Amino acid sequence: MSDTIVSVTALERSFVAKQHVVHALGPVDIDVQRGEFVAIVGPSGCGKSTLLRIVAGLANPTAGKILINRADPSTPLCSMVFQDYGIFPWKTVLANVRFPLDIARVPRRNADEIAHDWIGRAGVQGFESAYPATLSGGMRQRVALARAFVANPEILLMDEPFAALDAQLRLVLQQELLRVWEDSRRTVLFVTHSIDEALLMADRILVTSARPGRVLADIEVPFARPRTRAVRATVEFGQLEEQIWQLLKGGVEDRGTDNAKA
Amino acid sequence: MRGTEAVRTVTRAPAAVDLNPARYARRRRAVGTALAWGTPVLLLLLWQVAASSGWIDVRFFPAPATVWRAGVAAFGNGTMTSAAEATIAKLLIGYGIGVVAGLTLGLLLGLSWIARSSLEYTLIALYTLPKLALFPAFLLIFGIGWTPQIVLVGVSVFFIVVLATMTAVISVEEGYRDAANVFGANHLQLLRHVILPAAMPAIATAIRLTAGIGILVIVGIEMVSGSSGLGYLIFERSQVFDPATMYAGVIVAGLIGVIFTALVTILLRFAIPQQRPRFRRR
Amino acid sequence: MSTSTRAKIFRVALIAGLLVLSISGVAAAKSATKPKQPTFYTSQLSVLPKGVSLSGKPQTPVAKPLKKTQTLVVGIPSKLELEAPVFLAYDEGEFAAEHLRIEFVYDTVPDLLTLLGENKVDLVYAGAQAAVFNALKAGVPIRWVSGVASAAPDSGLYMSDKYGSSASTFNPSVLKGLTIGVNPGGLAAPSEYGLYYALQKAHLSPSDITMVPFSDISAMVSALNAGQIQGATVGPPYTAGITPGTAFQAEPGYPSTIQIAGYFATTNLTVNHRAAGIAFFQAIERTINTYLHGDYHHNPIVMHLLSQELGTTTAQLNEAPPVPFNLNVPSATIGALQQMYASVPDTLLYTGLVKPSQLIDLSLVVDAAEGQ
Repeated sequence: MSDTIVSVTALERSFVAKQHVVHALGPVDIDVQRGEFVAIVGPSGCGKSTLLRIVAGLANPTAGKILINRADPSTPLCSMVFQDYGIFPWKTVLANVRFPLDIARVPRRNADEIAHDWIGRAGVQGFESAYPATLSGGMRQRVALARAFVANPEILLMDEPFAALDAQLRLVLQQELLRVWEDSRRTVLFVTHSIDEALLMADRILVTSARPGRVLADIEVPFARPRTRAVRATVEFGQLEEQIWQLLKGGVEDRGTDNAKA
Repeated sequence: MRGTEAVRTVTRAPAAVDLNPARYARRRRAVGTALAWGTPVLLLLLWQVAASSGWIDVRFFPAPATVWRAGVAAFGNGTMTSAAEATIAKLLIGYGIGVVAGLTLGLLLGLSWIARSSLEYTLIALYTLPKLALFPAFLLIFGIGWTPQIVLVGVSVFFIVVLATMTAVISVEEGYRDAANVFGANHLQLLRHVILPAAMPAIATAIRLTAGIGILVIVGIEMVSGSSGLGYLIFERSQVFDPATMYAGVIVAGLIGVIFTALVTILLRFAIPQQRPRFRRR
Repeated sequence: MSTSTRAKIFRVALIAGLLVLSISGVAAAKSATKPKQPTFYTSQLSVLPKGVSLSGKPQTPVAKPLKKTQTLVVGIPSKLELEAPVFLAYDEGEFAAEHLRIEFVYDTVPDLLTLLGENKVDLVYAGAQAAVFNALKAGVPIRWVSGVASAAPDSGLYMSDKYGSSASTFNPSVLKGLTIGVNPGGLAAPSEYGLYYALQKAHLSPSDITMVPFSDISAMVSALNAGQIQGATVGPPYTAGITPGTAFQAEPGYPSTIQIAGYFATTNLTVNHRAAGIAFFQAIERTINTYLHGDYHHNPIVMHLLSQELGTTTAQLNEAPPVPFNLNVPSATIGALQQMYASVPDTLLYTGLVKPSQLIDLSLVVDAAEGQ
């Protein structure tokens, strides 16, 4: 288990906005082990999504670097699940889920088989030829999850995937994700605002500060797997939640007063 | 029940639509269809009555029956048929060229910032030029006959399609591009799986609008130049004081416009997967 | 308007001096025998019905102001030297002298005919196109109330020198099988009558020749010069572009037995507002007699006014000969034009020919000339 898959060293990302430099992220130093479920919790605008995008290769850092240790270069490196704009409205559910395989030029027959399997596992069977416009929000995120898993990537990146769903749907999909993940135990980087979501899902929580985003704390989540909702009732859950909230509170309130002063 | 809420007891009870939704919906559909077809028929009747009672001067504005007879006669002796064929042919060729050229260049401009920087403002400037003012130049370059008119239609359609396509391609949401790039799509795959389908609805709207513009332009230019097509027939019949055949020509041109736009709209649905007509229930 | 004040003073002096002469002149004209055919540059004597003719004497017919000023709306398709009488009459105050207010409306002939039918326009200057005949048969009470001019001496059918040398020796049978350039509209336009007349003389039909329409007349002249077409119907000023030695005038624009253009009105003018109509033509005739008589191209005042009205220069106007103004419309016109139009399909939209008396009504012109 001491097999570092992602090694982030002195990572920084800044950008220029209206003639002054905005320091969005960093410096950040993180090591992620293969098969870890890492949650990143922090206030808005602290660069959590930026970190994910850099890991995914959608953006580059302005300082520092990330090293990724691949176990099997023949499989895809990452998959990503977004909060919105995930799946394509012009493709059917089947075509959406099959998309990563199409990109990898997997023969159509095999690709369809694999896609059907994951559609079943994600709980959207029967909707293969439906277009996303006819699906509810929860169904669409299930399709997004199926698509993310179908490629069999080494790293799963999730950027607040359940933020747009209502509270009850969230709980359902959290369970679903845990169920699917525990089959394969891939490395997951999971960005969320919700402290209890992080505590429920993750092995490890990185608490980040407000801009510029830095790691405030690296917390081990002690609960055993498989996780159920029962963990919410434990005392440790409440204590950890309070601890994390205290860390975050400072950042959120500071930003609040900053805004008030401005 | 609407009304002032000043009474002591307020009631909420079913209305007609709630008691029997299916029947209500059916009746509404029937009324809607009746109105849609009935209004033109009513207008035609009004026109005929106005002509028969002398409210309008039938020497200059004939009754629908007269226009119908003149139209039938013009089809019978072939003048209307050949005029309509000429207009349709010129429209299809010009429109086709304009759309294809606009799509191609628009895609290029949307994808390549170099192309866009070079050409965008030039194209916008040219777009605002009234093409009719350029028509004498077309006559000089292409001579008389069908070619300058086809070029005029093509040019009018081209500018709209190219700018709409370019904008649509640029506006493809970054989230869609990100989704494809994460999975490692190359440029061609990105184009085929993401950019083209994402831009297609906006492009289709532009193409549908230019269908109407194509008709306007071709009939318009035929009225002032050349000696073929429905525009020329309309002009020439007015010159000789034959308002009945002239208005028949106007109506035929309008019908062609309606049918052409409808055809284009239906065809475009097939280019947008999520809007394709579904032939079986899920 | 200093021009019209100057003209008024000039006129008063002239009338005082010529009063006796004009009275005796009119009396002499009434008893005179038919004047000779209008010839180039000399008199513009119109031969009108009842043996009345324009005297050619300046300041006649005398102005007879209406009791109350009336307005007449005159429709003009395009400004040409042929319309010099109405523009000059306006500029020289001849209409004002009759207590007539004239408003000009510029539009296409079909639009003007529509306005005429709706009594929104009182007079329209136009060629006697098929539209006029069709409108009459459709119920618009149109009347051809005056002619405009005899054929311009240099207008007509020009043939390549291969086919002859002059109009007097031209044999129209050679037309068979040739390619002739025509104005747009071909034989549906009255300006092409010269060509049709030549075909009639040779007992040919329009299908015996190939007619090529040119909307650009100077291009047509170039084609004739280059020999690409064997003949063309040309009028001034384009006739100046014909290279000497390549083509000759084979047939005049139209014979003196017909008229192809002029003023059209409806019975609304000829019956209901007769006095205004007569006053209009008094002014027109007086203008022709005073300013547009003989070789008026040598009259600097007239040429200055004309070049201003027409938006051109005196030099350009002089490229063509002066217009031989002629207000007559011979009855033979009606049959001749209808015969030509009938040879083009879908041009005359009625059966049964229009008779001259149904369309021609020169009474306004005659009454104006007779001073009634």
